[in-house]
Amino acid sequence: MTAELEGVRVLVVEDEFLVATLIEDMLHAAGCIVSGPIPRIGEALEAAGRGTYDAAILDVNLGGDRIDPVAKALSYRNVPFAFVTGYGTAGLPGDYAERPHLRKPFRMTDLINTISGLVHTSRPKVV
Amino acid sequence: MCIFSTHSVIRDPPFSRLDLISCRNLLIYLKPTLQAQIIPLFHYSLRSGGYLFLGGSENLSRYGELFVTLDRKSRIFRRRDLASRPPLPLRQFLPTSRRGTAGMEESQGGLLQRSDMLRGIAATVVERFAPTYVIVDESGQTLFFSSGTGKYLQPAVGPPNRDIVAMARPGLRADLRAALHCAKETGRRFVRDRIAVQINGGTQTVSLAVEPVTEGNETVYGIVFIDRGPIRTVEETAGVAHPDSEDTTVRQIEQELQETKERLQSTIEELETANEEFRSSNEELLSVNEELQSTNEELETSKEELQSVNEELQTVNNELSIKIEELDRANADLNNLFQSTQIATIFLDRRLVIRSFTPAVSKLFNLLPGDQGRPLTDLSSRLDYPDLESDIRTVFGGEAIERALSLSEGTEHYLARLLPYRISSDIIDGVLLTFVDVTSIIAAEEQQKVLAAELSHRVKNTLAVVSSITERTLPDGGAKTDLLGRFHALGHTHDLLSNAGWTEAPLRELISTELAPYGAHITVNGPPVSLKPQAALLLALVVHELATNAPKYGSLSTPRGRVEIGWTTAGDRQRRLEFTWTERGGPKIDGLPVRGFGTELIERGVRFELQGEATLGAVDGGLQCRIVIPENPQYVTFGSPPDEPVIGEAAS
Repeated sequence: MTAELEGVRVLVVEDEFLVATLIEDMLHAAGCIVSGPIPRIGEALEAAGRGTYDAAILDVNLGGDRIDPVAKALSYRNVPFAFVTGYGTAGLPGDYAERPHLRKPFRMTDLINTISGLVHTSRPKVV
Repeated sequence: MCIFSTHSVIRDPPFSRLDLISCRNLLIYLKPTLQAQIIPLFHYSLRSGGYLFLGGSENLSRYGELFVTLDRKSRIFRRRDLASRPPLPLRQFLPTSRRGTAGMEESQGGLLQRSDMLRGIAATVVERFAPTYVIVDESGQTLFFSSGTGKYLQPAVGPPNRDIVAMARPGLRADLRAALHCAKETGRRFVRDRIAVQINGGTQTVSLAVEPVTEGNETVYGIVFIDRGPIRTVEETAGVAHPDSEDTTVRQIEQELQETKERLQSTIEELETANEEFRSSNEELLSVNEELQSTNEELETSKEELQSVNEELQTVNNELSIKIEELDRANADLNNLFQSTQIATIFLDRRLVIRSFTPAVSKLFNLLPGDQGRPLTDLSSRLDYPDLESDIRTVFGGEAIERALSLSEGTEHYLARLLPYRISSDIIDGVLLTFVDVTSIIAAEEQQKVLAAELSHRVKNTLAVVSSITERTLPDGGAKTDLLGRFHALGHTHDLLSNAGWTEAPLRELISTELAPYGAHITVNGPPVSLKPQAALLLALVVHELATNAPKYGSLSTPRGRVEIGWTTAGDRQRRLEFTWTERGGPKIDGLPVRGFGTELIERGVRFELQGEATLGAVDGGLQCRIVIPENPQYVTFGSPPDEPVIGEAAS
């Protein structure tokens, strides 16, 4: 696997341990710097407001809590993000239905392509 | 022959034996007393049968009996001859020099020859002719009486008393005292005339003289009484005519004066009495006024109090109005609520009589709006609820009852609630019946069950498909066995979760399901703990990893080895689940198992998903896994699930 996302800082918010570790492993393999994974909304909100990220992967449902506040905080800071969800498109937060999303289950190429899309469309490529 | 002369009928002595007296328009200028003197004079002056001629407006007044009226209009009268004549005041016509007593002087002439005889004669004369006198000392005590003093003095009332003033007869006393006093003060003679003394049977006018006489250093007083005129009886005093007209006039005037004085005195007394009465009346009025003033003040105060009471009443009234408005509003709200609510509600009193109900009740009971006041038990009902009456009786004991009821062969469902109607904390005045239509809820529950079953079916189907693909894709070997085992564990956990509608799964069953193949070697001890789906799936995988490790490398690899599984729900403020997996009787292990999927799942997964702690270690040569999870309604709850009434079941 090429490290085409070398050095890209990615925030991962996902509450399912096995899924979270899968995403973490895939991003590490692609050369990303992973923040998280974070399983709970409070910590995720704190991380979204504090750190510096090039992209974020957000689970729509965190143990019953909706992800919306985290998405709002990231939008405010112009951090591009994509949702990971077991729901269909209808399950996405209303304000962010146009945002890219990954349906579970997904493959590594799906994840890498999504991250690439986020990084390349939102800002000039990191040198 | 005519003789003309000036003649005063008042002053000059009268003529006599005249034929005619014409005295016209003179009497009208005289006072009645003078007239009364003149008319008898005319009678005296005329001869028998002589004529008297008076003026047109004059009259004989009191002396009509002296003359015969000849012509009344012309006032011509003829003298009448009378046997007795009224006394004439002739003495006033005597010359002044002849008014004294002439006889006394003559009797003195040439008679003083022998002094003793003469003194005796003089004493006799004095006794016979001298005025009555009394000698008193300075304090008015009598020392000597002359003869005839009884006329002026009389014994005083009470014990014998020599005081001259006390002895004086009425009328004399005041003058006597004044005269004595005056003489004593001045040391000179004091005379007082015309004193009217009340004597037995009449009044005597007297003159009084007091003469102080000093002999050595002692002074005595001689008091002399001299009669003036005769004694006048009462009749005479009031009599028509009196010869002594001056005395009469004086007497009359004095009498009038006396009467006037008395009247004045009584008037003064009356006036004083009246004044006293006025004063006391005034005081009474003043006190009445004060009382009125205080009453007025009290009234004022009362008025103010009334005003403030009135204001308070007004305030209370306003508050009451507001309360009534609120009450009206609340009543209207209640009515609207009753009309709009779909919950059939019936209010019963103690005799099970319907007090009020909501329109929705008509779906269950044959009730019309006029049925308030009828007993509920008289009404037919669509409900299959034979115990209604006994349930209502139970509710009067203070206990609420809930029943699930079905109608129309199970197509409609109601939840009946029977509650005591309390008017205060300890008085139950009736029963409140509510019937909630739960048909849609039951239907939704049914649908949810169907959906859950469908979901479970799909998930397990998917797992089965994945297992099948794995079976056919991977070559036989350890990895394939591990993978299929993990799919299996997930499938069992889904079964447990779907049994409770995907809400939770009991920890004990989760473990016993996973360890069923090793039955006798396993002991499981712990209180009831429920796991939410996320925790159930994670712990199922954890137990699965431990349970697959034990037969390969741990205690279950030997026949005598066993596994003790136990958990407690300890903790004071924050309770937590403390779970231990302890292997005994197996081969001694020196270190931990090789790190892999299992160890990472246990050590990271528990912390990541459940905020707990998990440790793996060796205790007495056997593996021990220790997991601590704080109580959290999202993951783990302690105690057996509560026995909530399950909606939809028919009343038992």
